[in-house]
Amino acid sequence: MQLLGRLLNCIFKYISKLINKSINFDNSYEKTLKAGKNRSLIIKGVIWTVYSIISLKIVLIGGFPNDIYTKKPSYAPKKTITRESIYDRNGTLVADFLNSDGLYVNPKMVKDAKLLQHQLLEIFPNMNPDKLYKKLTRKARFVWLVRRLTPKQKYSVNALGDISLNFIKAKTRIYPHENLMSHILGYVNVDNVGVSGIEKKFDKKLSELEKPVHLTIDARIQYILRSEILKMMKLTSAIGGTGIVMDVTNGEVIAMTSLPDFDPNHPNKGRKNFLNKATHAVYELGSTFKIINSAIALESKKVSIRDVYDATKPIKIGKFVINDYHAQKKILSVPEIFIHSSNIGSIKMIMDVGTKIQKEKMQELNLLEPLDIILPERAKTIYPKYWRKTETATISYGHGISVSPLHLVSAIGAVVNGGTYYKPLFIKDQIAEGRTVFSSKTSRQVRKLMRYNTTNGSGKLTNVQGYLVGSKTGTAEKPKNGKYDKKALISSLVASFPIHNPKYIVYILIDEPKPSPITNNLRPTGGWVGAPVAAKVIEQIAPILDIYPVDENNPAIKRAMKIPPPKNTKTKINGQI
Amino acid sequence: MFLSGKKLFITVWILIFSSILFMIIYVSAQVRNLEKQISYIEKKIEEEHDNIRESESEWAFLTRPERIDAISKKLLPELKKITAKKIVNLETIPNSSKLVDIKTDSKEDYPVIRISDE
Repeated sequence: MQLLGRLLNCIFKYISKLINKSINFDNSYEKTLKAGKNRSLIIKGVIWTVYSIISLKIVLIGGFPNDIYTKKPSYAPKKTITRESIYDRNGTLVADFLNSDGLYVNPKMVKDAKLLQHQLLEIFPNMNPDKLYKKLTRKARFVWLVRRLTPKQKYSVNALGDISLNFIKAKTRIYPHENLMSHILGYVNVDNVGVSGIEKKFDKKLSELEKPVHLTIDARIQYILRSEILKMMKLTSAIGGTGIVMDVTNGEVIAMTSLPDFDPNHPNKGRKNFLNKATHAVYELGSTFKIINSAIALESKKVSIRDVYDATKPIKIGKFVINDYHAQKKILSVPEIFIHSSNIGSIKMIMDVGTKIQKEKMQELNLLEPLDIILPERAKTIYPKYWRKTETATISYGHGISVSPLHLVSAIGAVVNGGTYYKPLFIKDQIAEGRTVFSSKTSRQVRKLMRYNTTNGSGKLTNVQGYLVGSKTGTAEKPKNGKYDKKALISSLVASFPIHNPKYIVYILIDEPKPSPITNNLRPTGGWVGAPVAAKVIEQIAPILDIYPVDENNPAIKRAMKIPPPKNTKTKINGQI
Repeated sequence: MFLSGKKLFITVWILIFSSILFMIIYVSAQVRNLEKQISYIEKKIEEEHDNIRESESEWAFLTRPERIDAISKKLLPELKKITAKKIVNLETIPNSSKLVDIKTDSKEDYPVIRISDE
């Protein structure tokens, strides 16, 4: 604009000279006229050039698309958002960022390091005095003291009036629910980079200001699940626990907890609890596998729900003898095998089906593949390299194959929901793509078995009036030093409700519970420790999840849950493999 | 006349040119002012967004299920968990059809329950 001003000035000077000279005729009229013509030509040229440039520019601006008015001016405020928010399925905020202040020191401006050290220790009593002194005397101009200050701490530091101390504005990731969803959300490092969980998976999406993430998790259900498992862990002095609530109609994970957990606001304090036991750890999950075993057997049509098996004698596999924990020592029907959790019966059932079909179905249920979920913490299953009769037998009752709890829950979801396998989902409004693994008839029959187990078997403590719960317990010994440790148990329970038309699965796993008054000082099996937790969880979450209570004595429901009487005795396997 | 012919032509053109120049300078100054206003408003919006976020975070912290549970146990000790027995169908209430009129409003995606005056 200054240049234009000067040019304008020049032009006006020329014009005034021209006018003066034009008026002042002196000795040489022709000379003056010639000079005047030349000047006039120059002025015309300049005017036309400038005018043409301006006209051209106006045409360019007005006549062609450009970003001159849409472009942000350089002095516009820069967005300082570092990560997008995360919400649960109901829009409850579970991860956000806030403005905060960081504190740094310029050691070159520190006058009395000892005094400043003393003053700072009064504000930050948890600081290491030696490390603080080293920081205050380091040969540098910038040394971090505290990355995140509370308003009170900032006020106290300001009150010191020390010119060597300075603040830096920063955005800090915060998790208002603290430990509640730690393993699902994960956490970020000091530079706000996702390190685990959803934070890691959606690192780019969250930090590039796309849309906020909405999880399938319900904070209320998550709280109920977590607090009930914590209570049982305390009662049985267990070392850990896992819980999952899943919508079996689409694979959405409504709640998932792994205990002990950590506070993602202060991840360094919970380093030893980073393992997500629900998705990243694998276990031999024991008798809960019998749900899958029964479904495979019934689906093959080589076993009928009315068949019976001889469970009077233990089965010998190689040098091992397999017995039943709740040994009945009699001929058992398929429903009895299920409710008494008979290993012998389960082995005989799967032997009728064969290894090939068992392996195929396990494959279809994704039990031999790494967990297909969006969380980065995905477990790989451990299964036998050579899958022979022995392995087929042990896998039938949940040994010899190690899967994550979420592997099992998604597979059982396929058994109870009518036969469709859905991969577990953690992000809301994702399209659930299912694949049929079992027929609806098989699903219906297994649901009857699960209900029968709740009313007459090991899952009695799961029975919640009105919600028609179907369940299966599992108790497995943990392998330690090459042997199974009888005192280190994985006690678990799978429950589905309402079992006549399943909507949800609740899975409870208690890691190494000890005999306690709640188990009558008996062996803390899945029935003792998992079942009461599942019952309390179902009782509380069913109204929240809009599950309307049903009358268990309703004839239609009774008819749907009726166990058919046994038909004949099979004697294909007589106790020896 | 004071000016005639070419001089008049030049003067008119100068006037037009000056007016355009003035307009351009004026418009650009206006645009600059408006841009400053926009950036100020954007800054304010950003600040408000931050305030909303802070309030949202505070709300999320205060309404944590853990806290609500603890408060309800302390302040409402008589409040019990909802058991299946406490949930009943409207039809099971005597003369319920006279009392309530359940209609699904086309504008809403949930049933609207209107209690009859009778």
